Amino acid sequence: MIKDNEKVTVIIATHNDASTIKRAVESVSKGIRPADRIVVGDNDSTDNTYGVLCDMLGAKPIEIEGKSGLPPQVDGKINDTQIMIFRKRKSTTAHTINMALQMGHQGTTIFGFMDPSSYYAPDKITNAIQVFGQHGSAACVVSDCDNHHPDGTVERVFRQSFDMQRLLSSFEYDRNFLVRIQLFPKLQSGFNEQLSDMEHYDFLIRAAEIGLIYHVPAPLHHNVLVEQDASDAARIEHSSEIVRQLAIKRREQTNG
Amino acid sequence: MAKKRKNIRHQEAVNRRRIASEEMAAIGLSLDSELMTVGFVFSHLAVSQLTYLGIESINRFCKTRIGVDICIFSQHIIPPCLPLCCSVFSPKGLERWSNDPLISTSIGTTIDALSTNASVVYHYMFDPEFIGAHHVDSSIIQQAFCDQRVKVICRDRSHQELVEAEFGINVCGAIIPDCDAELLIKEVLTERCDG
Repeated sequence: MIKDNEKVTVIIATHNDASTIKRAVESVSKGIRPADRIVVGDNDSTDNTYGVLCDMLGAKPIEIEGKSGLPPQVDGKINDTQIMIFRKRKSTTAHTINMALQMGHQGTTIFGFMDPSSYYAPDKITNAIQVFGQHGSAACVVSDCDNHHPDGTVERVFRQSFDMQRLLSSFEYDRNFLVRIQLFPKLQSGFNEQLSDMEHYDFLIRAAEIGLIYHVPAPLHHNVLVEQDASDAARIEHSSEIVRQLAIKRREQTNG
Repeated sequence: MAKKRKNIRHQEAVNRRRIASEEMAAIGLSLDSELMTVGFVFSHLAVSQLTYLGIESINRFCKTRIGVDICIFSQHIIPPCLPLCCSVFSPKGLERWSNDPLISTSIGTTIDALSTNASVVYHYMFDPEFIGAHHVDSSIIQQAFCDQRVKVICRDRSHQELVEAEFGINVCGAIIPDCDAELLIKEVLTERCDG
């Protein structure tokens, strides 16, 4: 394991990700430089995602007032990495992430965010730590990725580097990025809980207004793609448009 | 007979000369070299990874190195994301550009740079813009990579392999990350001296 002075906490917000969550957690607890802590917030899954997580930690059902069920919060270790899991009533993903951020902030110097259907490459965290060490102005590290399509093909995705104008017109990154803890006091908030989707787009735009988004031109994570229907695409586009409008409004306020 | 006194000033001058020649050798120049001018062509100077890191390293270069005069050309006149230590010109300034090294940073800026008298245009490919660039005429993309006056420099080995496979050209062997002005200038000047 590579030694450094950083404490990396990876945040995962799940909702019906039973088939992929184990791989996601293992990818950050192993690797060249594993995370120091993982916080997984389950957003009231109905497919036993929380059960899978409890199984991984060996948590047993508890009994309260004659009713038996899984504990609402469990701490444990996977591959020598501290992990905390919790479940909550269904709300937006942003709300789950913010709760996880509050639980995992103590001592943390770098926060990593992760889509539960994705998994990190072994050197993703190492690369991010190097970037933060070299570039004091870097607030956030994004990277290229490998996309795994439903038909089994794997496609290397070459992304463009960060450009504010480009970011405002379209979003080509994803939920798998790492940020410095110093970003949060400047943002004065975490993820926007009002947004039902694309909260990571809003977060990255706000981060870009404060510091540099550094794009690493290497595939440092894997995205497993699922078929998307027209309504999903429309919902994402609608949320993206709201994010863009919010960004434009902020710019007008700053300039005026 | 009195002992000959050491001329301290002469020794200092020799030392200064040695340090200056070492500094200039670091970027591929010698003390006899004429003042070089190197141009960087950016699409804009507003906030982006390319402009931020590029301007930061150009400023560092201006403050620490001698013998090279840097000019920046910007296609769009927008306030820069960082204060600049060198002069900035609009693309019109390229019309007066002589045969000095010119480093472009995108497809559009390479096309602009090709309209000058520069015998070589160094296309520093920060992003593989040609992927999914359906709105750009393919002949323009071809020209930005395959023109005989263009030499492509990449910021990552994977980009290098991609360009070589896509355009069937030989890309410059050096990989220069983060638009590092010192490495770019060294690469350009060394190549110029060699060839």
